[in-house]
Amino acid sequence: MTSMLIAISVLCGIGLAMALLLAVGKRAFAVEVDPRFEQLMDVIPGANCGGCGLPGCSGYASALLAGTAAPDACPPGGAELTMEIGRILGMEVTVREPEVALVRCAGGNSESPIRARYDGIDDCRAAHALAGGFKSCTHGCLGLGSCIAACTFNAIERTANGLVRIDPERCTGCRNCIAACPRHIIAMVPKKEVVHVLCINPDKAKDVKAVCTVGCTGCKICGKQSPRMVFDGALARVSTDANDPLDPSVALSCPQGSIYDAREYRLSDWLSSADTRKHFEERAAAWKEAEKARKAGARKEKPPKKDDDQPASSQQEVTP
Amino acid sequence: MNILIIVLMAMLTENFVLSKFLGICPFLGVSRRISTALGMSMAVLFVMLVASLLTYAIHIHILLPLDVSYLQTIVFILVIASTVQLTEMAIQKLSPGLYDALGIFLPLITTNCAVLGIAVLNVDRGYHLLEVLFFALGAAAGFGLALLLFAGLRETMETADIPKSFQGAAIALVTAGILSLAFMGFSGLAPTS
Repeated sequence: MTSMLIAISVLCGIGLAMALLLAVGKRAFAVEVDPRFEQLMDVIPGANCGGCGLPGCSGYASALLAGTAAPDACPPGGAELTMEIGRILGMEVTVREPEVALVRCAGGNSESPIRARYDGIDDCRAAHALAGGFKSCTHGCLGLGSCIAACTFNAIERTANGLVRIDPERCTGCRNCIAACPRHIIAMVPKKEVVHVLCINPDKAKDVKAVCTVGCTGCKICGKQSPRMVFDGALARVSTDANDPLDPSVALSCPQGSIYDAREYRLSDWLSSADTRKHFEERAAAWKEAEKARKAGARKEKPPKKDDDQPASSQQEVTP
Repeated sequence: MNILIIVLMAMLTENFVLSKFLGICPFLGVSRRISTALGMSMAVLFVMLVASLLTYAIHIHILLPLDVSYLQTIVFILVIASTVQLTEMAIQKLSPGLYDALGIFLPLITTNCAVLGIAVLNVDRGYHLLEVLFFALGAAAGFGLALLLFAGLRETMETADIPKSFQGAAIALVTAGILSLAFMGFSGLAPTS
């Protein structure tokens, strides 16, 4: 018992003495640090994800003070952090539109079949390097999850159908997954946007149809619905130059079903549920009937615009 | 005479980095430039001196009389960590440039096993005060010597035509190995132990 007390008091005594020494040293060697540095460090998330391109969060804080980094460069912090930084540094800030990463591929194992057995290491980069991967579509998501390993925020998960999906609520927009994907499938999209083309296969219609049932063929039907559907060769994409989210009825016009509508469907269902697909096809068929009727009516008189069952003006919360 | 042997031994035959393989982290980490290597050596010299004197005093006057020398490791770590903190503050105040150059390696001296190694060796070998002082000086000089030699080699290597697969850490580790082999040659200096 005594020996234990002695040991404890020895350790405590030495600890106390050292603490005193350090306290004195702190006074003696006090360095003038910009008090704003500490304030910045308090508000910056501290994930050290590297999304700002600087070495860690303290590097970002220093760069902010030096004026070499922008106050909106921290993706995990988002608009809130930008405002805070503006307050601390006493400067005008413009809040950047929040962006999230999106896996632009809906071709799971049932849509784009596996063409070869892959027994290599569990990494998309390795699989992609081996003859373009085991999937029929050489542009599609391999689903081995290199992006999952790169994500420091646990925002990515595998779907039942051999794909991955990114949870937009957890995604902070740090872009680490974009660098990890060997096929460049992941891209940043505005968080408020609700319609996305989930395909990046740039091949001609015949070649796309040969490898995937939900690939974009570049038929440009969606382009007739909205000028915001733009085309890179034979591949549609939603342009990002508008302020408002795109009318989701564009998705119904797609004969391939490669345009995803976040207001109507959960992304994970869209990527792996046959029921969702069936529901979408029924809705699309109904919509096409209505369009046909509207066009027929337009020849005789000018009817009011036929609304889709999902009104374009509704601005409800995006719940993918 | 005994003192001279201790210094030479600590510096060459028992070089902490190249023979005992202690303190490899800063050896590889801050050896890119001779100037930062010199700064690191100075910081290590200071920490080694202060830490060995402090730990020696604590061992003689506190741990031994109270018969708690089994607390050696934790007490020594405590003392070393505090000394490093103090050194860090001092360097930040006196030489901000050096502070930035040393970066993360300065706080890492805390876990530099060369520093703990010298504290433990002092006690294990039963050195008296003067011997402790010179052992620390010699060891720090040896650390500095190894670091400077290596930094010089690495600065020269930057202009060398190194095969792609060897560039960077690979050639650095190979060089460190060869340097260590060279230091083996000093073992002939050692008195039979």
